[in-house]
Amino acid sequence: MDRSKFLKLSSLAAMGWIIGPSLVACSKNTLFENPNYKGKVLIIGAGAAGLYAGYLLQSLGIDFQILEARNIYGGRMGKFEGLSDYTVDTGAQWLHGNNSILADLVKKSKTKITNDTSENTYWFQNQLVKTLPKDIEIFDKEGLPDISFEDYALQQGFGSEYKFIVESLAGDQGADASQLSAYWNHKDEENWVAGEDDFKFKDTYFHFIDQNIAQPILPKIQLNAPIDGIDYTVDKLQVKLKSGTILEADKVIVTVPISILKLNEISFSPALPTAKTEAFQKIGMGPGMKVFLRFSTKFYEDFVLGGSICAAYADDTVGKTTNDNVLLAFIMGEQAAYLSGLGSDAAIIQALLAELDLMYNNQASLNFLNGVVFDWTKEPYIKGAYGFSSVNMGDARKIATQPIDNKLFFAGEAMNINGHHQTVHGAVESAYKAVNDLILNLK
Amino acid sequence: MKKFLVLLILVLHFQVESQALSVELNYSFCVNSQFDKAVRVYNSARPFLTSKQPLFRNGIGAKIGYSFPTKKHPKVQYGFELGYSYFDSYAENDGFINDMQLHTLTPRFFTSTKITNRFLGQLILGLPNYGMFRQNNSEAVTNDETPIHAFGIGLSIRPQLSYQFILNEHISLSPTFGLEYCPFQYSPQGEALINQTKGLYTNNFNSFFGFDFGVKVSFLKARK
Ligand SMILES: Cc1cc2nc3c(=O)[nH]c(=O)nc-3n(C[C@H](O)[C@H](O)[C@H](O)COP(=O)(O)OP(=O)(O)OC[C@H]3O[C@@H](n4cnc5c(N)ncnc54)[C@H](O)[C@@H]3O)c2cc1C
Repeated sequence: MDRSKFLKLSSLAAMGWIIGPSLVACSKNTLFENPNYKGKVLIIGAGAAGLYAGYLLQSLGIDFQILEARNIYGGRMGKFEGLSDYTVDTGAQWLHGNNSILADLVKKSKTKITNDTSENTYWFQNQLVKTLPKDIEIFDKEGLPDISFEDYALQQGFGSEYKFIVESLAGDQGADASQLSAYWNHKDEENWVAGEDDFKFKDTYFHFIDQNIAQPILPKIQLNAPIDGIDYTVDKLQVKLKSGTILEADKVIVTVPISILKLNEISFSPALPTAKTEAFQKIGMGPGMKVFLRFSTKFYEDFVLGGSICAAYADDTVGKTTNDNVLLAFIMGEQAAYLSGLGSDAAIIQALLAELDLMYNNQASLNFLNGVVFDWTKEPYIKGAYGFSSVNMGDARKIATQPIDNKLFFAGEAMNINGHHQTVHGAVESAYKAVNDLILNLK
Repeated sequence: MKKFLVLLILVLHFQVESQALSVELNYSFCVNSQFDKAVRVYNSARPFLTSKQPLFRNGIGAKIGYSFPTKKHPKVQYGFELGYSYFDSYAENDGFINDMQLHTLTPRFFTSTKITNRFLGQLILGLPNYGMFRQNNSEAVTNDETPIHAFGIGLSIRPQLSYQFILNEHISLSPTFGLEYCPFQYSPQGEALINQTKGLYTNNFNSFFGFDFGVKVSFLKARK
């Protein structure tokens, strides 16, 4: 071959190398075009992740079934009608940000939401104040060490008087300040792109998910079907229910809370790789509860942070159509564990009223009408609030979410690897990732 | 900078044989596998959207350029141009409008040579700059109260052919056809902007492939 022929051929090959893949890529406009998969997928758990995984599979014409342990679907989203003239969200209630799959669904479905612009008030050194003497926004910057919020705050000169303010910040992440990593939490926040506004649904978050995602796949959800174990040695996976029934599937998507995986409540055969089970352990998940208190008048601010019994109180009626006054106590970590340990809902409510009395000159007890407690830690198939980034967490989320043998896939809020864990929209994104992994590996 | 400009003006002034200022309007087609993937993720993650978000493919562009031949090789010219292209991805679903725009602004340096009396072959090197923006129902999509933008920068290489029709002593008209290949680096916000995640699928280093055809009007200056 002479030189010029060689040059011509190699330039043609180079052009082909550049253009070829691009032109092939031109042909389709969705990653999932016609997967034409005839296998059966079982989804464990009917929370946001499980429901959305089913919704996606349905849209692709893939056979699936959702197995849910409890007698209701929705997981950590729920509603309760018996407290006031409107329905309260027993779990998730704020749509965080307007830039996510769910935010797009809100816009498309014209669901009514309100931007919750409640301003912070702090309970600081036994006084309600609008601003703190020192700016506590210390966790939102580069180069934080991998130590707990508590330790970092102390290191930065925020003494014991700031303890419960720091707890309220950690509580927002579903954690104790002593366990939440300043470094990993910030890393996750850097990836957060959903937007900073918090929106409340005119109805409930549960209602929105129910109407738009659960209803279209209702016949595929099997309630009261707790899973005991999954055998993935065989070609067809065998999913064993607690009732003893064994179901077969080609693929399984596990969406149970990370707490359930940490406690090995579902057995895997063969055992999951050590790296994976270690990763489960590294992802934090602490106790969490919501208590709603109804009062005859509104004597409280919209958002009070820093209580020693409950680090975050919020006016629950923001964005609702109601004549009632309902205050939400949002309790996480150590505080939730303490209140849970009091043993009865009445005792929990009494403890909260006592703190509010201190803040508001006995107004709470005077105006109290009724209240209701939702302790998520006591739910046998939830066992906590939501996954947080603990000290030394490293790549745990990425490892935890990796599929196994192209048969077992993992989703759920704690498996979200793009900064949106702890949220409903993050759970939905993790479901998308699991379905995506499943489909893209079919060939 | 000042020195450079003075030098440039001197070069332009003394080396010229027949300078030409040109303006071009073109149609552009582009393929970028990472943007494609991000749009595909957007679509496949949202089965509830019946109108799919189109890929960034078809765009329009304009260029303004200035060329001058060398004294030694009258068939060889070189010059500078500034190109702008605009690509759009727009979908409407029951009143929910998602509109994404991709703008590119590319300063280029080129050399061209006459293949025949009328055919001109050009080799162009460019420094494309990309900016991507997005609105929902005409409102910029924001994060932390600031609109999300994504930017990128690359290095492009571009062979181009044109055929010159001389209309009169001062004006020529040339249909042009060019291919462009451009490895580039874009901010991780690109993925975030398109499908609202970051670090899930796309990678920040990527390449564009595209072609365009258009019509160039050149305003020729008489020989000095
Ligand atoms: C008090 C509270 C407030 C919150 N507030 C918000 C908020 O305002 N905004 C927000 O975005 N997020 C909020 N969250 C977080 C949000 O609720 C979760 O991130 C999200 O709902 C998790 O969805 P998931 O599908 O990952 O898990 P889950 O909803 O927990 O679903 C998992 C399902 O698996 C089932 N399961 C468990 N074990 C088994 C088994 N062995 N067999 C079969 N099924 C099993 C469970 O019953 C459950 O239904 C809040 C959470 C809590 C607890």
